[in-house]
Formats: sequence, C-alpha cells, structure tokens
Amino acid sequence: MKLFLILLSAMLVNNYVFVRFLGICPFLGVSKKTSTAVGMGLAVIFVLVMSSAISWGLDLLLVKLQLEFLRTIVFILVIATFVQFVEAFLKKNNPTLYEALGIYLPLITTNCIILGIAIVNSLSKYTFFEAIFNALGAGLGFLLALVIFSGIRERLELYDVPRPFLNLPISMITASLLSLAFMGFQGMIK
Amino acid sequence: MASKISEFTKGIIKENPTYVQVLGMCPTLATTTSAKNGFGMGLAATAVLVMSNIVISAIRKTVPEKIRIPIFITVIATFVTIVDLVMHAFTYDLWKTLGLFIPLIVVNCIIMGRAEAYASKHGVVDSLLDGLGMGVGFTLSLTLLGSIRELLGNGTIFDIEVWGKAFNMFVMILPPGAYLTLGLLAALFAAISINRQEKAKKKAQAQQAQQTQQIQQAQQKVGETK
Amino acid sequence: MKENRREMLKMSITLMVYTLIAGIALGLVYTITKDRIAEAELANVISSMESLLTDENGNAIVSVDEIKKIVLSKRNEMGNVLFTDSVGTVIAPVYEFETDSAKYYLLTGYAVGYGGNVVTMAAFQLDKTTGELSLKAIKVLDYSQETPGLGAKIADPNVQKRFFPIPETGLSNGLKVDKDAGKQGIDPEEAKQEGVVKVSDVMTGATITPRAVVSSLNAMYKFLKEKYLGGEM
Repeated sequence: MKLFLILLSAMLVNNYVFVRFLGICPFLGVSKKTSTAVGMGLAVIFVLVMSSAISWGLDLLLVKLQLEFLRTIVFILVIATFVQFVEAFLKKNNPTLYEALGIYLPLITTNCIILGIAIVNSLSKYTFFEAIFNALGAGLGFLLALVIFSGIRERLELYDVPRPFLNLPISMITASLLSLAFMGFQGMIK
Repeated sequence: MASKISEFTKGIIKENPTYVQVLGMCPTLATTTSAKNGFGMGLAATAVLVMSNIVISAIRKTVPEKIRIPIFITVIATFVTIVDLVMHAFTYDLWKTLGLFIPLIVVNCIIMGRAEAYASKHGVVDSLLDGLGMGVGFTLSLTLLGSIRELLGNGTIFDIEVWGKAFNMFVMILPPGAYLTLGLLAALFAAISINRQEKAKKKAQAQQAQQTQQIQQAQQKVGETK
Repeated sequence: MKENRREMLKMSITLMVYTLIAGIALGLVYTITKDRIAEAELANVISSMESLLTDENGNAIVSVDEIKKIVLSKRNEMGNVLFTDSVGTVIAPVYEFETDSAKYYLLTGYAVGYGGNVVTMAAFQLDKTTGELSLKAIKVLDYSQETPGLGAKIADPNVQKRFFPIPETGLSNGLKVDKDAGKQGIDPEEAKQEGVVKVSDVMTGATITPRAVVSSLNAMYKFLKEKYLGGEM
C-alpha cells in the first residue's frame, strides 16, 4: 500500500513538474507536438527508473565507504552513461523517434528530474522498491504534464497570441494555470 | 577593450539566460520564493559557471571530441560538489534553504550550455568574462523574480518589511505564482526587445529614405545644370 | 578494426584520468572542509537549544557555555535511534540541564511529513516542586522536503508558538492537531490546555506537516515519561 501511495504522491500530489519544479527545460522544447511529447516522456521514464535503480545500489556503497560527497558526480555519470545507451538503442531500432527527439535526447542527461529523483531517493532513505516506485511515479507525472501541455500548445498555435507573449511567456502562463489545477490534489493523501 | 566588455554585458540583457535563452528554468522557479534565496542561488551557480568555464576553456585543446560531454560533466560536477561543501561549512543557513538545488546546479543547462557553446571554443579570459556575464544575468533574473514574488506574497524584500501583511497575494509564493511571474517578466523582456527592433528598423528605413532623397536631389541638380 | 579498439581504449583512459583528478580534488576539499562542516552542524544544534532554553522575558535559563559543554560531550551519540512508536522516532542524545526550580530535557525526534522527515527539537520541563512534566518549547529543525508556502510555513516562529507550552494534562493523552481532534473553532491558548494544537488558521491546506511535528512530540513524551524517567535508562 505504501508503495502505491508513494507512486500516487510523486505523480499527482507532488507532481514533479508543477509542484516541485523539476524537469522543466525540455518542457518548452519538446511539448510542441503530442507525439514527440509522449516519446520523450517514455524515454525519461525509462532512464529515470533504470538510473534510480543503479544509483540506489551505488549509494549504498558510497555510504559504506563514507564517500557521500562523491554522490553528485557518481549519479550524474551513471545517468549520462544510461542516456548514451538509450541514444544508441533508439538510433538503431526506432530512427524516426530518434530524429524527432533530436537534440533533446542527449539533453535528457541534464533533465533535473532524473538527478533530482536519485538524490531525493537517497536523502529520504528509501528502500529499493520505494525508490523505484518514486521514480516511476515522477516519470508518469512528467509524462502526464508533458502530454497535457503539448495538447494545449497545439491548440495555442491556432490562436492569435500577442507578439511579446509568443513561446516562453504564454507557455509559462499556461503552466501556471495547470499548476493551480494540480494544487487541487493537495488534500488527496491524508 | 570594447569587445571584452560586450562579452561580459551580453549575458545581462541581450542574451539573458533566463528570459531570452530559456535556460536554467528549474532552479529559477524553485528557489525564487524570496529575494535572498534567488540571490544566493544565483551566486552559487555563477561560482560554478565561472570556474567550469575557465577549466573547460583551459583543457579544450586536449579533450578528445567524442568524450567531451562526459568530461565536461565531470568538471562541472566537481565544482558543484566543491561549492556544496564550502556552503555547508561556511553559509549553513543558506545551504539548508537551497537544499536539493545546490547539487542540481550540475544539470543547470546554462552551465553545460555555455561550456559547449562558448568555453570549448574560446580562450580562457573570454570564457571567464562570458561565464561572469551570464552568471550575473542569471543572478539578476533570479533576484528580480524572487523580489517580486516575495513583495507580492509576503510584503517584504530581502526580509525588509515594505508593506508587510497589509497586502498579500499568497499564491505568488506557491508554484502557480512562480510560473505566472516568470511568464509576465519574459513577456516584458520580449516586448522591450521587439520595441528595440522596431525602432532600429524604423531608423534604418528613415535613413534609407533620406539617402534615396539625397540621391534624387543630387540627380535633379545634375539634370538642371545640363 | 584495431584502430577503433585503440581509439576506444585511449578515450576510456582519458576519461578515467579526468575522473581520477576530479576525485582527488574533491577528496582534498572534503578533508579541508570536514571539520568546519561538523562545527557548523554543532553550532546549529547549540543555537537551537539556546532558543529553547529562554524564559518568558527572553533571558537564558542556562548559560551558553553550559550548553556547549553538554553538546560536545554527547556528540558521539548523535543520530542513534532511541525509541520509535511506529509514527514518531526519537534520536539520541537526550540533553539534561538543571536549575534550582526545574530539570530540563531536550530531545530530538522526527516523523514523516509531506516529502520526507520533519525533525523537531523539544524542551520538556520537569518542575521540581510539582513533579509535572510539561512541554516548554519546540524548534522545528528540518522541514526542507515540505512544500514551500504550505508545509514549509512550519518554519514561522509564530506558527511554532502554537505548539507550546503544553501542560502535562494535555500531553498525557497524546497531542493532536486541531483538525484531527475535530476542534477547528477552538482558541489557540485553550487548545494547548487540552492537548490540541491549533494550526488550521495559520497553516491552511497543510495538515500533514504539523501532524508530523505532533507525532514526533508524542513519541518524545512517551519515551521520556516511560523509558527515560521511568527508570529504564
């Protein structure tokens, strides 16, 4: 039960994009078309869960050797390596998605949500499964946010937005409204 | 010398990392709940940016192209950890407040972005100035955002009471307020830059019209004397 | 093919060299800052205790030097779990201070809040004449995983004031947040007499964080009354 709560919490109540502010950079670049958004979201979920698993194991080692200060460096190198794998895999097996994601694929490395979750998992001293479910929930929340956002943006393309508001400003204001909506989930987990 | 100065100042308005380049969004929204927090975060990020720009520029000729990204990441992560340790030791309260976002400086796209786009292609002094300029621009953006949110949400700036509890839009301190303020400020920057562009265009048009007129007048004169 | 292999080897070695240099540099900085960091953490504990051990007029009940001495003497015990009642946990050490009129016990404890642990330090006062064990003051030490603007409001000293002082009659049946006790309309001071913490007006929409503080306080009281003073220590 606790695992499910952690997942729900990471996905909705504490949604990492709208409440905790992680994972926003690719938000603006990839959310223009829903199909790319979904592809990106799935890729992120994959990297999130796998790198969280590996980081969890390595963190145990670091704590044992009293080398906690190497945490940041170790985590980010794990993530970078993983993204390389995903890139190589996609290039071979799904070149269309590879092309569509373009520069945003290697940029998954710098997606704060991945490093953020790895660190949160170690700070909250989660067990292995708690860490996995947290990562899964965060990834699903990210996917959700991305899909909703891209749906709205596809519509926005058809409207007459005042010039100063094009791109970043109107996206941010949209995000603000979505964030307000997500706050409705606050009381959900007693 | 003028070009050196512009290397520094371009990061403040023209190529402002937050409102123009749209980089480093995560810490921008999360740490600007108050002016002091935004300022502190900006300084920490600037420190890392300057140091990593210097080192990456210094080693740019010896780094094999294929593995440059992991090496840049290692350099950046090292400086972030150093800043984290130093802040933990000497600025405990700020360290505690910024919390998770200090190690997250590693994935701040500004730092990686400047390393890749600039420091790996320019000399050490230029890279230092570029890093400093971008860092200052970033710090100013964060402080501005933090000040507005703190003022409207709490009635204070840098903990100094301006109008206190008299007028509080609480939502400003919460996530929606962050997105909203950022959006409006970005629109402001865009409007200013559009205004500038229009003015420059008009000036160029006016100059052209003037030139055409002068040429016509000169031609007329020549025609008359014939 | 061989060229490829050699290149890959060369690259891996370069990467490892850089990582090694980075590791050494970090190790150096770590050893330099290690002591200062420990000092900063201790200073934080000491200043929290100073604020807990002041009377109504703001005067110190115990001298700063006394506090420093006791904290330093017990620094090796820090962090060990002393007691848990499955909701709140109490960690070592227990700091004891004595004056003519009372004995003071400073405990540290935590409970799970919104995004992580909420750590609180509390000062319990054992009146020498009446033998009553009351909650004198609290300080929330760590709330960094709570939502800024909502749960993080627990940092406000005015909010924390709602949690103390609580007489033993309020503590013995377990402290409750006003929402859980069903007494949202109660007056803050009256609430304390009944062992209820009124926070619904200053922390709207954020019950989880104050509930965590209350849970840790209950664990501390239980531990202090039954185990520590009950003779089991």
